[in-house]
Amino acid sequence: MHRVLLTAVVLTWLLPSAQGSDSPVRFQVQPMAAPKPALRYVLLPEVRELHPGNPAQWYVRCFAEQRNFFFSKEGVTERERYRALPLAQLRSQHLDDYGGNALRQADWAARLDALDWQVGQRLRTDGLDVQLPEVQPLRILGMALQARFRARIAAGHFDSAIDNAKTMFGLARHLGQYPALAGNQIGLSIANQAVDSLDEMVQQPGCPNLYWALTDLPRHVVELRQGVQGDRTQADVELARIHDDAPMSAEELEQVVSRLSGRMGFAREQAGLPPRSVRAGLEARVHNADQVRAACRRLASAECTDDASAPQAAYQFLELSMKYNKFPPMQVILLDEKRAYQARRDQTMKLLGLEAWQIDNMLAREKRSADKGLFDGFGPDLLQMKWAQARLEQRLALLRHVEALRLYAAGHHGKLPRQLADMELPLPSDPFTGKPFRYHLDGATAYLDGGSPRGDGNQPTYNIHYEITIR
Amino acid sequence: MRRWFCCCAVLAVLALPIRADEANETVIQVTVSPMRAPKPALRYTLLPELKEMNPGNPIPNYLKILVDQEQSSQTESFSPAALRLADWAARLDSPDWEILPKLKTDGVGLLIPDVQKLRSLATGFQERFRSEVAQGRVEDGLRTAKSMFALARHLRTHPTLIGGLVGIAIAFVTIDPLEQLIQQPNCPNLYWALTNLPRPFISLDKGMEGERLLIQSEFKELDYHTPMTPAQIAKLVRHIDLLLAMENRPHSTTRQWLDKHTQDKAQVQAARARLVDFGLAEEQVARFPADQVILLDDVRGYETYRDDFMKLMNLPDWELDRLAVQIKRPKEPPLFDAFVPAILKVRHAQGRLEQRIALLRHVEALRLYAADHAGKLPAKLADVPVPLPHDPFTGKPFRYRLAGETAHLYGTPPRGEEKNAGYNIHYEITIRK
Repeated sequence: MHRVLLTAVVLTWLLPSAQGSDSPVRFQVQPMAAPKPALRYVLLPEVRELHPGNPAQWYVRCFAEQRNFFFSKEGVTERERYRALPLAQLRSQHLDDYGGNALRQADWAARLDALDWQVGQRLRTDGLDVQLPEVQPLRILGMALQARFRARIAAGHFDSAIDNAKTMFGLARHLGQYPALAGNQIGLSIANQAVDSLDEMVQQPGCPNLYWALTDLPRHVVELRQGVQGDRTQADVELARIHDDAPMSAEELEQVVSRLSGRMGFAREQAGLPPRSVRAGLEARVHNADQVRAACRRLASAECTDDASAPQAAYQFLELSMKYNKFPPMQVILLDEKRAYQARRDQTMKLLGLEAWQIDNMLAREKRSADKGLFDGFGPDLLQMKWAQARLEQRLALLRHVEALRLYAAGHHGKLPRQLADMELPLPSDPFTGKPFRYHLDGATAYLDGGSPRGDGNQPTYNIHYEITIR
Repeated sequence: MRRWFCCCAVLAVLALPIRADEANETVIQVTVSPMRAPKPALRYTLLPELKEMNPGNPIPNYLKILVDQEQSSQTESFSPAALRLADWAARLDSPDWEILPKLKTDGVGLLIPDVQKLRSLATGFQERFRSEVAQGRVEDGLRTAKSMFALARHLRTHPTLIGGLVGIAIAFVTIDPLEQLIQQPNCPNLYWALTNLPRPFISLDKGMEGERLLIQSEFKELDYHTPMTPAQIAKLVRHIDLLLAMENRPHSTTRQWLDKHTQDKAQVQAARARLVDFGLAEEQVARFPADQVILLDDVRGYETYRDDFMKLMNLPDWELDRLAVQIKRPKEPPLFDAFVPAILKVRHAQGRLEQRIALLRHVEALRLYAADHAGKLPAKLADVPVPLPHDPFTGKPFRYRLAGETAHLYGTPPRGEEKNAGYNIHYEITIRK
């Protein structure tokens, strides 16, 4: 599937995912002490389970000769049914080995040790034209795994259900290494599906306590670093067509504009945005001599290497201005847009290594222009991606709280703590606030609330309320 | 698809004749134009050259294309973009099927659906190739031929014989439109391109090694050093039952088979003696229970019988055929007899491909000759000034005769396939006026 289309489609999946609703998520759980040894259960494949090999190859191998299972109308309907059926009804379906060999190959894949998605080189040569045909089907693989996960939970086979969870988290984590955000997004989606099912599992009688298993997960189950850098590479390959070392011919410029119009138009269409004529916008600026002169000045200024106060700085600026004055106006405007886009992109990218709440605080202090440049449609909104990642982490952190409450109840005759501090267990902070989750006990029900990024407080997706009672 | 069924299916497809007439031969009529060799001679090649290659593993990239096709289409056709991606994959330098660890654990139960699916990618390529030929786009056609031949050769690196067989099938799928291509008036002469292809085109070495490993994996529980407990033997017996069931063998109870053989004390004694001859320590073998002795002896018998075939694998076809008929099947076939790969059939499939490529090289040599002799064909092959390959099934020059303005070129079938039209290839070559 084409990258731009894929990105647009996946972003729409991520937002309405499972637990996004104003209504509280209710948990009825059983007190349960920690397993012995404490890490008897973990949620990612361990080194001792790993084999040599490339998981990416085995994930795509799952689909060979499995068109009916994965893609036929009957297969899709059945899978959606198994994902939605109440566990009590699912129990009677006997689906412990749902998916058979197709999904057993995914189990094998998730336990291989040398990931290589084999797309890096094409990203560096094909730019936005790169085809990523495997990404979309992997989401379907995730859904099939979730159906099997639920079937195993329904059957009360917790050990094999946890094996299934390991496969899902393993796949999600591998997708976090995909060098395009479209792949990372699918990874987040699959990890969220796994958490949906874990939420169900911990409510089943006899389910082992997963507090330490959740604590053992890496901080970011799904990374975004590779994807961000991959998308950046693709955009740069595309923008490298706008030369900054010599004047371009009218024919070359026409090729660039025509290509950009096509790519940007397609991207806007797929994102559900109204059409915008790139060519018309460019033409208007090209015919405005003041704007072209200003663009020349910005380009020269951005390229100046000398300290502006140094005596030779003025000379360098003049020399660079003369260079850009020789360029056709269309080239100057395109180069100026490129410069502005790269600057804006890095302004956001530099924040991605921070915690979500730190980014939120910084954005609140900074005043960012709402203006969108010509190339801002390249790739998904980085901040939305970061919020999606933090939201997954928030859900895992909340589930860890639920398991901590089960631990506490097991040691306190089934009672819940009055405050989180009573639990004497390390508990994660809310990724959106950097502070402990809000908690209060009302009668026999504990209430846990997740925070939201600034400005998104009214979005149900980011307002998670858990209500926990002990069975 | 399980590899045994897959193997049978591919062998069946490979055995199909192309156009068979009543005389049990496959007649291929070609009308070609005289054409000198290109300059430089290797201007055209039929496999991607190093200068076209990129680092990477083609296999996951082929699989990605198949996934996309499975998802987006209910037909077997591929989009132009998917085939472009396949062209790119065919030019990656490090094929790795990533299957060795699985081969070691799954043994003969190994599933290889990916291998079989690659045939549909070859069919997609073939459609494009035919369309390029029909439009007279010779250079594009040759680029597709390269991709297809590269795909076929990537399959030779699969550690099962079925991988090699699918590679051979894909090479055949390529040769069909290639034959159409060389009949185009403007097609360059491919004599040197064909001469430049590796021989054998699809080596079966890796597949053969894999076959040996498959059986080893199944019997890793059979102990050669210490006496096995009844529980260990019972577990192994259950496993063998499963294996034989996979082969649809009536041996549903290995236990019965063992009981029959262990009741005969002389037979057990003879088996012990063979194991000592085989190299096991006598005092060790003496302590083994009878069940273990019979099983070990049977595996030894199986390996001996299997290696009698396998040792011939690297001989030329005509020598292999001569020696293979001398191999004596044991009086009592080993329990695992069915797991001796159909080596002769596989080698014949490989030889048939070699023969077809050699015949095509002859056609191109005739075009070379005609270009220098006013469009005439030679009276005998010895008149052709370039080296010509021998028929792999005879080790001798191909049979050739000129009748009027038509040259007749015959491939000889291997022993046992004399009545199979697929192995009786007869080219009728005429020069376009």
